[in-house]
Amino acid sequence: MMIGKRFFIFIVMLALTGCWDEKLLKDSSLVLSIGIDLAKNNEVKTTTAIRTSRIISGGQSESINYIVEEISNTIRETRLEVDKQIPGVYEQNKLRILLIGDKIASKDLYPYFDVFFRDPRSSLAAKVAVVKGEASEIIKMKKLKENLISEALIDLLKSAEEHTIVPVENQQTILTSMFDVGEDFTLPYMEKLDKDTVKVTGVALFHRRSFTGKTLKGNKPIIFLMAKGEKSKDIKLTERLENKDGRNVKNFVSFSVLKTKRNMNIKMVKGKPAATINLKLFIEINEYPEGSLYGQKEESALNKKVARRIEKEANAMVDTLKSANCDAFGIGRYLIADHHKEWEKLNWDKEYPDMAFKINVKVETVNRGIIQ
Amino acid sequence: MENNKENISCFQMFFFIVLATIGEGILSFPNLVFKDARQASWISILITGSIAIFLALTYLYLHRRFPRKTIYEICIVMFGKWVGRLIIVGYLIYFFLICMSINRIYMETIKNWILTSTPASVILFLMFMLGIYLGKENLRMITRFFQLCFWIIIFLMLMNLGSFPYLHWKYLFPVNEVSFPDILKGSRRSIPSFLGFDSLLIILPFVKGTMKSKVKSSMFSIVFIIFTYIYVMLTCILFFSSKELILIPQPILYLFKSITFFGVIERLDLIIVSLWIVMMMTSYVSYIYLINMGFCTLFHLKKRTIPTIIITVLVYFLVLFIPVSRESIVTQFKLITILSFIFSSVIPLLAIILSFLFHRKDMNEGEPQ
Repeated sequence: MMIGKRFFIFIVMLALTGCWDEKLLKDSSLVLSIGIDLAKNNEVKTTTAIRTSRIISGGQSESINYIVEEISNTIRETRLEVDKQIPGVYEQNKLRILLIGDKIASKDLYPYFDVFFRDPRSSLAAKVAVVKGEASEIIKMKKLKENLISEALIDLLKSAEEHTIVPVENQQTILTSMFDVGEDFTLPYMEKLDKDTVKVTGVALFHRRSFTGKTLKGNKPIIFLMAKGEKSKDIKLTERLENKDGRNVKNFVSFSVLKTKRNMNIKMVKGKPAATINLKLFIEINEYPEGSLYGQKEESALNKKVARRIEKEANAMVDTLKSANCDAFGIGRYLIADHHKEWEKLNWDKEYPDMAFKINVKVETVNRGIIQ
Repeated sequence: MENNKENISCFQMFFFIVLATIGEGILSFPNLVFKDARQASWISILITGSIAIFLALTYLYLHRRFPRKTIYEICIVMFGKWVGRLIIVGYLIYFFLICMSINRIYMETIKNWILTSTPASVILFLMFMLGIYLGKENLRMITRFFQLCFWIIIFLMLMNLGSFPYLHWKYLFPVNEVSFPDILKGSRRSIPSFLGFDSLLIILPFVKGTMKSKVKSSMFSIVFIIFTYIYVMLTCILFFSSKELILIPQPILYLFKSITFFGVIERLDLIIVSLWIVMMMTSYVSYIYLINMGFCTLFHLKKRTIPTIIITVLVYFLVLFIPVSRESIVTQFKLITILSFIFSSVIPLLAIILSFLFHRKDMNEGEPQ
């Protein structure tokens, strides 16, 4: 019996000796960001930022980026080509950010994403953004405001998410929307403004799986996300007061939104859908150069003015969504769930741009800072 | 008593049933059921679950008539020596096929998800060693180990809560658009994930306790299984859009792959797979135990080491060397579903009917305590 046990332990120890699947960090080249663009003849151009460390004096090491660009038929093929020219093994499992040029985004996106979804080792939590012009232009900058490009872009997007300027999306959430008939997705939209400035300027609108070329900019992305009911820590807006033109500082009011309440009603009127969103904002005045807020009357007058202003922008935003045929509010999904019979008769792609869709806004001031 | 170590309490039986059942199916069943039953998949699971409850009640009734006998011994009593033995062999083949399919699913999943370049023989070898190590033990030992493993299920369910911010409740509707035949088709596809509760047929005689507490414990375990499956099914339906869920063979893993916990913890699918190996192993071991008992009845054996080694070696080499294709897996799946119908429902029911007709009961051994 003892011999049996010893033999057993011996056999088990054989299983501990090693591993076929070990992937040492020192052998691998970590891919942190990828930019995808359309090249000539429908080929794909990928621009990859790869992270390695270089040992500088005294045993300290410094992180460096290098950029590899490759043009081929598919994403996977460019990856193989890249792997041939870099030291170490191409490791895509730490991918943090994926930039898509607007030309390739206007085509069906799924074929370019398939390789990420199919590979068991890829992390689907990478952020995705659409870039005006070529995505490679941004990746090739190598450094952005003294930070390595991948980190800088991630921070840029994260702070934009925190300020509710862009929707919180990653590869996985996009995949879900790509297959969902009832909802279209939106992505952050970035622009390279000059030699060393990249800015998140708004939200890119998609229809089904392709970029419509239309974007929301200025205050509209924030209003869009509030109307969508996305919660966020920090929403700051500056609005022009009504009936006042010109660039006078007194014509503006700045406020933060502390809390939002929204509800969406979707009705079928004579076989056609009609949607209304009621949005209520609880705000804190940050800057009101006009200065007179001491009475109840002034306050409610200001509330009304701000509400009207936001309502106007919100409905302009709805018009943009409709003209882009981007059902970002997921009205289709509501119809599928609650009005299935009518939904089956609808030609949603044609119906949506003409549907009745209104946003009503109410504003309540809850805080005015430490002066009246 | 000689088989003293074989006895477990009703409380322990709960763990045995739950862990024997929840195992190979939990990763893939949302995809399979969803293909037919769509947003009404949870109803399919409820239907299969209620059938399981009904069957468990018939097993308990059979057990009341033969309180000291396993299904193997009942078969010999009811169907005669030769037919009975033939049925036992049938049971053994059926259980053996399930062992093979568990090993195959285990091998493929591990190879696809984590150890992509490790040879299949090594991956299977781990399961082979565990099978021998635990499979040859007595029921009490096995159940105690299962009791430990039970908390993995609870842990997995808690982890699932992480998907809550991403759920879209509207994906659940409209339920009434799914036709009833489709729901039934879906529930047929969920049958293999419910297999394992039929181990009641063999372990009931070794459970100490009153009839009432046995009923309670077995019912509670099946309700727990149904609850777990519906919970998993719902998170999958609500997390993925319909067309996506059809594309993904292991939705649970895919779900964890894309969630980030607390802003830093990612790729939990790797941990989930590792924990799931334990659940696979418990199912495998419970089937090895069931086969062992059959062998012992068939050949009047006392020790279980030899049958265990025969089973595990056979499973190891058959799974390794029989080439796999998508089709053969589907055929195996269908075969198991049909066999489960015969061995989990037809034969026990037949035994009950025959025992009624011939007034056969275990009289000389008295009423169960």
